[in-house]
Amino acid sequence: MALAVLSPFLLSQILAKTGQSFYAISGVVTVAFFILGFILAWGPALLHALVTKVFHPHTPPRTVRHLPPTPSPLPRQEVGSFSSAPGGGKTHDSTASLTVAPILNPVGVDYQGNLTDARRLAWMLERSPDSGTLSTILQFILEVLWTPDHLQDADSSNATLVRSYELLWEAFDNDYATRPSLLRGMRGQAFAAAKAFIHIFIQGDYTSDNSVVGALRDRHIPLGSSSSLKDDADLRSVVGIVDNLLGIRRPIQWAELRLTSSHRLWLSHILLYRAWYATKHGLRIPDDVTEFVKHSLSSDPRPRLAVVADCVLVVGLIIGHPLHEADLLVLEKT
Amino acid sequence: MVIRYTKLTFLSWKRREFIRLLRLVCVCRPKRLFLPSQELPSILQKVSDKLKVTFGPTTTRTDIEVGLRALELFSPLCLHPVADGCQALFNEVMKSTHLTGEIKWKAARLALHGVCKWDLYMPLLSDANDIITFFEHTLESPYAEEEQDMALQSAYRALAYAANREMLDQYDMKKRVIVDGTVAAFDHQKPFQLWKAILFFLDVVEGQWFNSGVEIMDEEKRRELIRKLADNVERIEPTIDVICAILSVLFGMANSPMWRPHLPIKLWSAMGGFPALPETTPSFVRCRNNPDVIDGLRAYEDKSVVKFWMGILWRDWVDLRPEVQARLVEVTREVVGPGAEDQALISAAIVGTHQQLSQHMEKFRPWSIEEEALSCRARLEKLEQGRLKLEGVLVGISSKGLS
Repeated sequence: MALAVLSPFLLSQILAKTGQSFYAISGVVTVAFFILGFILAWGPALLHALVTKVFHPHTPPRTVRHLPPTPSPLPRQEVGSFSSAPGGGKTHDSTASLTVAPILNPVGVDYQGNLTDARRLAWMLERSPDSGTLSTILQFILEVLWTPDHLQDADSSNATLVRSYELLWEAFDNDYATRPSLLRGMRGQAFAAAKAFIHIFIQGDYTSDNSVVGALRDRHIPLGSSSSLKDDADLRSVVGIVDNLLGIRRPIQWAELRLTSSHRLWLSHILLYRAWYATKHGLRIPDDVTEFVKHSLSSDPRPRLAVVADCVLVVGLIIGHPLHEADLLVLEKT
Repeated sequence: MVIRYTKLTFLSWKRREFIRLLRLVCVCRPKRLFLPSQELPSILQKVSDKLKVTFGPTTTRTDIEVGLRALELFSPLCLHPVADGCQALFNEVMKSTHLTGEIKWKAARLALHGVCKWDLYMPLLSDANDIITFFEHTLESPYAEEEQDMALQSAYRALAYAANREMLDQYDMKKRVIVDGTVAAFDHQKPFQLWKAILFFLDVVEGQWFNSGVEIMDEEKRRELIRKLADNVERIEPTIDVICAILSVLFGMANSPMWRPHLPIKLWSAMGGFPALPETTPSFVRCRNNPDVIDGLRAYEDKSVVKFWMGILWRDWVDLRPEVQARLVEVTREVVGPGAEDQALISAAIVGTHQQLSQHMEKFRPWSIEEEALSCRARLEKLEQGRLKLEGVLVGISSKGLS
């Protein structure tokens, strides 16, 4: 686009120097380059859409490419209450059973206290065409509260959880002979999907009793041991938590992970939720949470005060100090 | 569908704009902004108070176990309220009668770690009794190595940094368990902070250990401790406080006839940091007034150490006892040669201190009667007397050399 804007000016200068009519020629060239710029910017997308429509009109939505074998398919019917098309009729395409109708229905709350449409979010996640857009939507998921109190629509939550898991697996290659390895260029999607999965799983208070979780556990293969993640502490940490949530009891070696400050902040907040739910259900706070707290509070240099606050609140939960709801909602505590 | 597809593709290039658009689409109405229920210091205080209750007299065994788990996470945090809270908790635990056995010592160990782990802030002790009880118990009881090191490190740090010499002089630090335990733990293979704390502990107890005239350990053990000190001196980064602690211990040993013969010459390399040592350091003052130290240093083949030491004595000439003055003049005549190098070496302490004091005096008016200026002038006067006396001795040596 920049070329399209600048080129007429440059060309007109050249033409003016060669004695041509300055205004007439530069006007024509400007229009021509604007058209060229439009084609360059929108052409590939239009062409792709055209090809998709004309040559592959019945192509199903993107499906999971590298998922491990599933003995039994996901309990799609259980999340099928929102598996209807926008018109409300049942779809004939089984692979589209997880799609969610784009109905504006405010059911979630984001951290700024705004009501958000989680169903629309789930629908967009299902229909988004490329990994860049997916990552953006996955990041937006983290800004929405998925707690059962704020989110009455369990179907949207289930669908988004499963889709996040699938998107995480899309970023990995699994040839069954070796451990899963991260595909080149898919780090962003893997990281965003893992975080979204953890976010929904923990905030949504999912447990192993849940049928959706049960289905995911049945087909899950540990990702945390993948050697392709060894240089990426942030990704390793989230993938390790996904493994733990899905029943792989392998302790995360927090001391070995040099987490970035922003990621540690995010982890401390979401793990505070995990600790809170555990105490709420009268359970012992999971070891991966206490180990994270131990490592964070003893690390040198000391992490951000917001992380310290979250970790101290976990300590408070251990000894039975009540937690104010506001402390669960605020990320940047000081 | 086409429009949505192209829109999404285009917008994926501009994620921030897309997020904004998502918010526009999804957000219906603003609700409210969340704020934390309280600030961090208040949360820390509440957790500290709750921990104190957990280890209080009305608690159950399950509560105590939960409390230990929480304390394990809480105590490593480097913040002022944590250190203060842990100190109160340590005192509570040590005084409690309902906590017994391993639970009591574990709680005390974790709480003391919370008090002493941070270099930037450590609450001062009002009484070393509980610490010494804990210290002796830790030295006597076999724990897992990591736990033992952590407990010892906390105890040594508390005694070395948060207590003072006068406070520890009230306790007998020459007990067999303390002496043997300290020699065993003073190893460079132990964590750095542990043997550094032991070095500072030795500085605090050197009066009792090296100046009592009592043989607190046999010759073998004395050699072992000196060897470990020399090894550690080579490894440690020579910051001012470390140099001062090493010199204080070194002078304490040099003053004692039991320890002096075993001191290796390499240990005296720490003398390079001598100007940083406060002149009122007790072991140095004792050494300065002991004429035997000169002979002890003279016994080394390398005479530069004794010359350097004599330079320090010449600097403090006026404050020396008469028998030391006499011995100093005698040995100076015997050891120092007529060459310029020797004379420069022996005058180095006087020249250096004179420069230092002159620079310091520049801050004051020539006729200032401020206390600091007066003391500086008096010190310069004493230096001058020492310099004149030394000059007389050196002239005698030079003329003897010429003849």
